[in-house]
Amino acid sequence: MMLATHIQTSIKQLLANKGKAFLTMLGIIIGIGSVIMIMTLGEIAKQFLLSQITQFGTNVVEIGITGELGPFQSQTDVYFTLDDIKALEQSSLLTEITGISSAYTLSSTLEYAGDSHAVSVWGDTEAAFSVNNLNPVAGRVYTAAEADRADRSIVLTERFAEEVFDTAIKAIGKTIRINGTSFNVLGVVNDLPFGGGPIGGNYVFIPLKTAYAYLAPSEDVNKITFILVEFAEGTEPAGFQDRLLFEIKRIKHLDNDQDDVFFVANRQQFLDIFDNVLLAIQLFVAAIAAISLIVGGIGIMNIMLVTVKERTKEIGLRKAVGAKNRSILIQFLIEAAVLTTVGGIIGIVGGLGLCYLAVMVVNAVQPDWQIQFVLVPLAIGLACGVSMLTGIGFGLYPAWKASRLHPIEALRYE
Amino acid sequence: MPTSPRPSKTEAIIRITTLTKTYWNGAVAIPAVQGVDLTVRPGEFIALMGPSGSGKSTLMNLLAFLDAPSSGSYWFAGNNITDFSEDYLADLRNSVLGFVFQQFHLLPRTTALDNVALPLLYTGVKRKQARLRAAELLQKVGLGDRVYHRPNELSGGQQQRVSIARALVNNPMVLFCDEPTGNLDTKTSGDIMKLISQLHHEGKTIIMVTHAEEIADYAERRVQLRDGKIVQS
Ligand SMILES: Nc1ncnc2c1ncn2[C@@H]1O[C@H](COP(=O)(O)OP(=O)(O)OP(=O)(O)O)[C@@H](O)[C@H]1O
Ligand SMILES: [Mg+2]
Repeated sequence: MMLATHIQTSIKQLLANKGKAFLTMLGIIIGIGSVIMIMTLGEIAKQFLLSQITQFGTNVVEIGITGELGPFQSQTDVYFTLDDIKALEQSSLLTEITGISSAYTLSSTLEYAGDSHAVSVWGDTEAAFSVNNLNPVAGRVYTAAEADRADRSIVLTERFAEEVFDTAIKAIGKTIRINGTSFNVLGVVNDLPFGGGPIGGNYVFIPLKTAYAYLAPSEDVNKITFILVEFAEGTEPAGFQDRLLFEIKRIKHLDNDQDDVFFVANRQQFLDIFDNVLLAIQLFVAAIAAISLIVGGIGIMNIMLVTVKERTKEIGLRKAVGAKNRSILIQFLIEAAVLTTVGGIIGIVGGLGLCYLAVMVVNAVQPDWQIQFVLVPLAIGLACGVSMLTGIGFGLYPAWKASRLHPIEALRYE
Repeated sequence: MPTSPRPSKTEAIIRITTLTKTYWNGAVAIPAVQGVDLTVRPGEFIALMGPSGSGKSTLMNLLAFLDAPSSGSYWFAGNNITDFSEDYLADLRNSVLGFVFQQFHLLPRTTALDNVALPLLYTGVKRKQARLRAAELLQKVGLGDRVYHRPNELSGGQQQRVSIARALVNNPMVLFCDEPTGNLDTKTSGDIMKLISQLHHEGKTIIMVTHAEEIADYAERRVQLRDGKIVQS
């Protein structure tokens, strides 16, 4: 009944001691601010990752040979060849396959106009482009026929092309050299997600057979480092992956339990791992926020106890003119809740402001990432609720004390 | 709000018998009120008098449901209120009593209007209506032009007028005044007492604590206390 009046009194009280109130709310502000920040930043990172991965295609399973990627090179002499890839494509168990990118990669140096550039050479069939969602921004990619002929054609990625030739268009038709072999620049495609990942950005694509013919050391010829198997939309990834591994083991004459030969990753898994990591970070920050909220809550309890002491006469008067214990209890609970909610709102606004700033900074440093700022309504609602509940929780004891005051003793209190 | 029947003109509005109040200071008993009998009829204006420490305030607090007696019985408008619950007594204070204190006890940083309206808010009256009623009462006590002043912008006499308006806002059956002029100069005291006796003439039952003869002169009946007992009534 007196809710509006109580809230008004609380705000009047708060404005009368702005500085003190702000210091009191600091714990709440920090606690709520960190909750909102970690939830918002987590969501922003997730959205970004998701956008990158979807651009990359999520219906792809990546399979490498452990020995090729890990430190156990001598443990296995298993590797893929183009014949294996054909066998997989023709397998009756794997009709969902829409393309297989079969990569042989090596690091090298590219020379043009007297300058040298470190590059990752990616030898692959023409399927590399469709499976990895790489589309020409200038020129074109090589055809199956050109790949089969082992043409000395090369396709650059966008950022690298711009670095060497200023613009993608200027690169088309130029001749560059890798390891002394000259290549004709056929086209430029968009960058791989995350600028190519941590292994380095400067990817250049050449036909697989060209790589074997001109760049690979003799012991590497016909070896494929890893394959990316794209499957049709709507396929159940786990089941498909099981069948794929089964077929690979059959083709490679491996025992069925020799799973550790392969390194398998599908991009859904990658997302799941990210989700788990994010959850762990969020729980950690939530724990810190909880401590901050407890400290803040104790601050609120302290200030409310002081308030109740200072306003003992007022409480006595209110009781004399008819306030029941319950009315006094509610009044002081509302005051505590208003205090923490205002703190919470400051925390929310501050936290969101910092998130926005962080996004702007990252976008300024990495313009091509184009990270989107998102509001997480759940986080905002949660933060409001938690801050209000903190006030009610920690205001309970002071409010209870106020409600138990004897009217006459309270009126006489000096 | 409790439904207390308003008494007829002849019926006692307040009747107490052998009422006592003992304070305890550790193991030491302080008998502030020692077996008091008193009857108050509707419309009476009583001055509770006596030397300092004689128990005037204690007795008034008992009569006004602000404190519980140690023993004895108390009928208010025919109801034995001795074993009423705290909440019920709070409702009674709100609906049938009004208080005027020596120290005014107005809420700081709150306008005269909202100070006067305060008791109404505990009865569930809407704020707008409560303010209308409060404005009416401020007009009555001669503060129609000070409605939005805060206590620190009002003189002592004006503050006491605000507190009288607050005491009247619920149209109480009994008005309790504990040394209403104790903090005021002679001239202002006279003005306040004129206001209080005007209320008496309008039919209000008034119980006033004072130790000043010239203030007690406004009342129609004196009750003398000494050492917690009535010595003359
Ligand atoms: N809360 C209390 N605890 C202990 N003793 C009290 C308390 N309140 C009053 N007393 C004692 O009870 C006696 C009566 O006090 P009371 O305040 O009723 O006197 P009074 O007649 O109003 O005096 P004054 O004219 O000074 O206001 C005094 O001896 C006082 O010390
Ligand atoms: Mg007294």
